[in-house]
Amino acid sequence: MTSVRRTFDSVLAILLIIVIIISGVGVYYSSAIMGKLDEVSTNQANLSEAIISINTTQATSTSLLEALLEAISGLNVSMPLVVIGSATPTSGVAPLTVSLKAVPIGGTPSYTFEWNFGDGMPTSSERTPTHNYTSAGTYTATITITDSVGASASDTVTIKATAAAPVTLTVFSLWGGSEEKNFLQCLGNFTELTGIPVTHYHYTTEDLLIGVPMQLRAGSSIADVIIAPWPAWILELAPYLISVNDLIDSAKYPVNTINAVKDANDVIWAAPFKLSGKPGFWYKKSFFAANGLTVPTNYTEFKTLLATIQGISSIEQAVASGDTVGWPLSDTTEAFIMGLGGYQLQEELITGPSVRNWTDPEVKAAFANLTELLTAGYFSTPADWTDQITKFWNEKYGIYFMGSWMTTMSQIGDVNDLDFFGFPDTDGVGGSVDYVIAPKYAPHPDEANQLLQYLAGPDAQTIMVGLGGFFGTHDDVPETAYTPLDKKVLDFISQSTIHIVSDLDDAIGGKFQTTFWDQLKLLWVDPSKLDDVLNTLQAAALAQQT
Amino acid sequence: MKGRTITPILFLIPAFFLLMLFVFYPIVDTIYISFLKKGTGDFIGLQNYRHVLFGAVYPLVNTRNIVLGEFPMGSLIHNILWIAIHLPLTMFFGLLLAVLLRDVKGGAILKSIIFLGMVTPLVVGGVLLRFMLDVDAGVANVVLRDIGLGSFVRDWRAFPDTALISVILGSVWIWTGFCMIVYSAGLQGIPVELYEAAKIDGASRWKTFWRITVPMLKSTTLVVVTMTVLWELKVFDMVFVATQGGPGGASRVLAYDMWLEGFYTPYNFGTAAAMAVFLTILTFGFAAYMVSRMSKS
Repeated sequence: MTSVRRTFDSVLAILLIIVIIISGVGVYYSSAIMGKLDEVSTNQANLSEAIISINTTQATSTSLLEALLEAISGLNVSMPLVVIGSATPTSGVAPLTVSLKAVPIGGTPSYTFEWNFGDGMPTSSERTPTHNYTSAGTYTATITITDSVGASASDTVTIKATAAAPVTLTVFSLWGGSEEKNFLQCLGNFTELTGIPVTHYHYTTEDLLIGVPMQLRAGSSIADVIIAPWPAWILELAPYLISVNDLIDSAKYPVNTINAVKDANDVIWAAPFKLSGKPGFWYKKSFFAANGLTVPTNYTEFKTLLATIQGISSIEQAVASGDTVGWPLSDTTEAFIMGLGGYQLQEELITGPSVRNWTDPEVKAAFANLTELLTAGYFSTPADWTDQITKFWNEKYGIYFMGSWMTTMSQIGDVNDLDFFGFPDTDGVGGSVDYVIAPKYAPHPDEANQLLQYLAGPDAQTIMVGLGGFFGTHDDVPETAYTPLDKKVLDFISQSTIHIVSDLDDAIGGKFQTTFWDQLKLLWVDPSKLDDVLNTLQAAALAQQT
Repeated sequence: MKGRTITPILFLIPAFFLLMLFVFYPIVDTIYISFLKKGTGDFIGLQNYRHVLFGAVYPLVNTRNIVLGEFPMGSLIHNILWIAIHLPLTMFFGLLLAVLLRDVKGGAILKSIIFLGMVTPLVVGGVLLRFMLDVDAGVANVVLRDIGLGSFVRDWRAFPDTALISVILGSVWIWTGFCMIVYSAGLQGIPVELYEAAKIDGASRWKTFWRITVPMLKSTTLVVVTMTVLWELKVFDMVFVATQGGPGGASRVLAYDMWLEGFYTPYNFGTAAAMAVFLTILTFGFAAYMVSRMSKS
């Protein structure tokens, strides 16, 4: 107890000493100030007036010192002319608005003021001007005052305006590998033009399909711009997106590409970027030449071709079947739907069971032709689609149905040895547009709009088509930008007899899409299940509409 | 005395509040949603349950395919098959490895290697399974070719009759480590005197194992069965990565169906909630039964 008491006493003593020291310092400075005021009072200064002035000016001044200076400046004292300049703030992010103040002391009133802001802008004759420093830099503002007898004094204030922290945009897309590499070139050009860096993230189909809506529904977004090929998905997210009616000229794009992302109120929710077409079956020219194969001109010749390829000893199967979550199989299937049933059949299936059922005879007929070839063993078991490109190029398969991006794949050894033929007698080609959307909650909405406009414009699209595999959607993309093979594909799909139709599963989306992919995987390995598959797709299409 | 009663209650209140907010309320709300119609929110009784069991595009019980013996048979049946195949295999291999590696030099290292499967995320397990079953480079098919069974080589995930079994067998190597470790611990608890007495009585190794080891591991087995079945009922990530529930729904499981229903358009939270309640009843019911068995033993 005694030791506790002693400790307590020691602490108290130390505290007391500290208080005494602080008081002493305070008294010293107070007396210094009072001493100055005493000096003023001996020169006919009215101390009470000064105190009143201090009290008054304290209400408007930011500090006691300023208040004192203001009070002193109002006193009738005989002193040399001095001016005190101040600024609020003295540093910040440009554009920076600064309030400047000049406090003259001594001399003979009245005074004239001249502020030179140090940035080349016109001077000001106000005592307390406000000035906007628009660019980053360090500026010296100079105040010069002149009293009534011509004496002058000046002072300087240093103001530092810093550049705004750089914005970096975040973009999500499905592209990886060579597709991403090409896209990064396009983004690099945007950065060169605007000075805005862009970071790209490659997402899987599932992550984008599910993760992004979850973020947006939670009222946030990591991405400033998202690129996705699913119009139905985009329209569902419309409440969380920025409309692009004012950002693009919709007349510069194919009508279908705009209509796919336009709602009933004519609000457009996405900007078209690039178009990928699914022109048909790719083949190696040298392989065809070496084996005496020719491009089929009708469906009968097509079946003959498959049989001939299948008979080549080095070949595993005539047609490669690619798979990821199912979409390369869906592209092939849609080629059969349009090739054998017409492009309108696909459009009707997209519209839904109110117009066309999956169990209708026309649909079954198209599928029946496909299952005939599957049963004959012409198609390989579905496997990873990029691995299948390698095997196709190594002549394990004869032909491969794939989109126009085939020409950009690194597995293609020599693009000059690559060629394609469309599904015989088809009047429709699947086309998938990559759309650019900007979420309402984008971290940098203004810059996001800039990027969106750039990607939807001819400059960005010219770069992308020049790199191969895709087509521009903007009318002003020059034909000369395309590689020779892409130009051939473009010419093919641009024929008046060919209609570009939306990708079926992308257009419908949701659980139907996963069901469609899943059922096609089943059909590929067990073609006898055709009726079950079509019944399941019909049920899924009906469920999608509820 | 009163203070003694109130003080513990006061300490329990924060935990109880968190439980209410993050456990009880979501459970009650999910059960409530499962009785509502999509869109209007009208009360529709057990309609959602009937729909998911028999009426959905992929019903939980596909009676037609069950009769035909074809896949898909329905997610519920797939989970039951998972239990029927996975549980005995993991228990058998787990116990076998525990017995073989007991008191063996280097046994601890071997057990650690086998246990690696348990620390591997199931998503990674699914990816590894895809590689292992690859037609050209997968270890499963390479072994088949090497032992003269080249005719069986295929992408096991791509066919409806083998997709589910391939994922189940893939999950066996992941879960065996758990069973092995639990059984190892159980074996440590068996009194040595029992084995000595058996040896004196001239019992064979097989009789010793069957009459002493297995009965003494009863409580351990209950733990293994409980944990394994609960995991099998909830399995999702491996299916998602390895097969996406296909082909044709042949490898779909309850948790995968529930996820699709709730997170894909047209979002149907009513049916997703019905599936969740169904899954909860199964897991809770089974767990309660097993815990009561463990208490008695």
